[in-house]
Formats: sequence, structure tokens, C-alpha cells
Amino acid sequence: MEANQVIVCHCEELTVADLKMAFEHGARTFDDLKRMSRCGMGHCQAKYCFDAANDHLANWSKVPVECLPNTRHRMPIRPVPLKVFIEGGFHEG
Amino acid sequence: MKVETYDAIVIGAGVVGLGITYELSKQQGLKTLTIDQGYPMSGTSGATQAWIWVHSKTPYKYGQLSLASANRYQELQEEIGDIEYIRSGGIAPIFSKQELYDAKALQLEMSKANIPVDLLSREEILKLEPNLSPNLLGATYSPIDGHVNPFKLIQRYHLQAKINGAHFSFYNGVRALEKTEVGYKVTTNRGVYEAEKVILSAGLWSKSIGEFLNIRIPTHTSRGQILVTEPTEPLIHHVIIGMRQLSNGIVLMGFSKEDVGYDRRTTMDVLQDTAEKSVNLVPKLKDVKIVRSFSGIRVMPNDGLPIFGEVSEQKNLYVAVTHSGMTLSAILGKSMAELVTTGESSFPMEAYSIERFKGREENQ
Repeated sequence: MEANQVIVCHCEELTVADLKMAFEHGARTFDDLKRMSRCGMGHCQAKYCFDAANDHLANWSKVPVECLPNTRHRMPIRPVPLKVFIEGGFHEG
Repeated sequence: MKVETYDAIVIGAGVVGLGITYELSKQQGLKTLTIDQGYPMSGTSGATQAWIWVHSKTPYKYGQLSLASANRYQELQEEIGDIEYIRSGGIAPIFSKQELYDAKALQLEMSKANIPVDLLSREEILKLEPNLSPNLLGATYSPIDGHVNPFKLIQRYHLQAKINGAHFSFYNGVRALEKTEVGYKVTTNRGVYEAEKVILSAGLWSKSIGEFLNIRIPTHTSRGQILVTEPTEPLIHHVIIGMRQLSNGIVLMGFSKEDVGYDRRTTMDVLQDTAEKSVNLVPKLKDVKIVRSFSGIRVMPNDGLPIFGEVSEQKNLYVAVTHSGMTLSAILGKSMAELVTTGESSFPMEAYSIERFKGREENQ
């Protein structure tokens, strides 16, 4: 298998080549990649793809991976229905 | 330090700055540089529902400007490639008698600009959107409203401008802006640049950059928090004030406005309120799962209208700072390129001059 066809983001089905293209257009952080390719915007919210994508970014931009910024994690940690957010929703649900 | 020279420098590469950059890049022989402290979409332009919204933009002249932009997006869709601009139609729900009176006034106001606004009864609106709550009294509807894919729009502006020869410098914050004999000098983290003309389109940060030249840009901040669902069945087919469903099935929902400075956190109280309002509007959403929340900070001119044009005391310095940058980037880009290259714009923009704030209270 060609290396560039390896899938990095399973939720949005993005390959190394897809991310490389975003890098070549100037993306330097995971959040740049995210907004350009949807990497990390799917069901897992970057929980599976973040490290792999960051390793590629570090490699391409020749900076140590620990120098790259983290992505911003937001609530909820796991998908939850809207009714859970609404007062009394637990009981009515 | 070596100084690079350009004809024009655009400060800010959000949707407004990139719209301007793209239109300028069509001018043969004009050497431009666009600078941003981050990367396109890292600020306000990347945290949006991306409505191209016209029908409640009052006064009617502001509606006309929004309509001109919506029309320009149809051309851009051909010019720069698929930006997923779709005129889905837009709905503003009415829940109270007061909102019904306001809707009638809105209809009258927008008729002055020939912007179609229909006042629909409960039955009519439920026919159009069967998943809306039967508790609403009615709605205003306009076929002119729609949405765009903000990521595609910004990438297309950027890519096409680059192909046309525009220069870019990202992750490069502006540290000083000074007047020179021939124009302006922009000092950044990574270099010094000079140009005859400077266009300030840095959204939220325009205010502090303007201060380098003692220009007061009266804006404040307005945080919006958004909930994002998992892909779900088609529930709504139009932009409905507060929400839209993307082609991949995701629903975006947000109603909040908070002046909390540059704080981009999401907060539980606002997200709970957002969930409640969303379910009140579309009851079926109660069982749909949320996968994420996000927030963005809008820039809000103090009187709500765009700030656009040349600054009278600073020749060849132009500003383009506005709320609703997604809706307006197309017409602001076109108008700014015309203004910078010919001295006037084909769409009348005089009403949006920064000069209007002169003599107003300091806190205005």
C-alpha cells in the first residue's frame, strides 16, 4: 500500500495525502488541518487521529512534536442527546 | 533588517481580508501582501454557521448591501470554484404577538429594497418545515437567504489569490504600523514591510492596530456558542434563525451573544440554554446526540453596521471591519478592490465610512 493512502482520520476518511495537501497550503497546527480537511471533526472528535496527525505535521515541518500546540477539546467528552442538556431531561427522557 | 515593498498590504486573513485579497489579485501588476497573526479560519471566520443572511438586515439599505453580496456569491461560485453557496431560503420563527408586529414592520422595511419577505402562518410554515414546533405563531420567510461552506470559501479565496500572484505571510503578528513619506510601514514579528496602501481588515484586532495611527475603530466583542450534532436524518431544509443542517446531516445550533472580550471558552449555562431553545424550535432534536460545542468571537461595530472605506486623515489607509463577515465578504471584497484601484466603488458605500462616528460620544 502506498504510504500516502494510509487513513489517519477514520471518522472523516482522510489519508496522509489529504493532510499533506493541507500542510502544503500552509497548515502548521492540528487545528489548521482540522479546518482545512475536517480531520478530527467527526464522531471521535480527534481522540483517535490527533497523535498520528501531529506526528506527520512535526515530521513535515521539521519541528519536535512536543512543540506543536494541542487541539482544543470541548464538551461533551462523549456524544450525548440534547435532552440531557436540558433541565429535567434526565427524568423525562 | 531587509524591508520588503508592496503596492498594498492587507492586514488580516479572515473571510473579509481574503475576499479583499482575492479581488485585488485580479488587478494585473498590483503587488500585494496579506498578513495574519494566525492561519486563515483560526479566528472568527472559522467559528461560524456561515449563513448568507439577508432578510432581517435592517435598515433596508443594509439589506441591499447584504443582497448585493448574496448576488456576488453566485458569481463567485463560478469564478473561484465550488464554495457550496446554496440559497436554501431563510426562516425567522415567530413565537409572540410582539414578534408578529415586528415581522410586519420588517416586511414593510425590506419592501423598500425589493427584498421579498413573506409572512407565513403556522400552517404555512409547518408545511415548509414539518419538524418545526407547532407552538410557533408563524414565521417570516425569504428565498434570498442561504449558506456557504466557510472552509471552502476561505480556501478558494486564498488559493485563487495565490494563483493570481498574491503574497501571504501567516503566523506573523503586526507589532507596529507607521506612516512614511510614501505610504505605510508595517512591522511584524518576522519582518518589516512597506506599501503605498494599507487595508485594515483584522476583525476583532483592527481596533488595536488602528491605535498605532490614532484611529479609533469603535467595535466591541460578541461571543457566540454553538452546539454541533452527529449526522442525523434530514430535519430542516432552510436556515432557521439559530440553526442550520449541513449536507452531511450535522445540525449547528446557536443563539447566544455575550460581550466577554476575547474569551473563547464554551460555558455550560449557555449551552444548556442553546439546547433548550433548539428543542423548543425543533422538538425531534431532543434525541439527537451532540458531539461537540464551539465558540467564536464576533466583532461588532458599536452601531451594528459595517465600517468601510478610506480614513480621511490617513490617505491610502482603508478599513473593512464588520459583523456578518460571511454574508458581506463578497461585496466588501469587490468594493474595496474598486476603491483602492479607482478611488470609488460601484456599490454606494459612503454610509459605512468611519467618519460617521466623529463627534459621537466616546463610548459609542
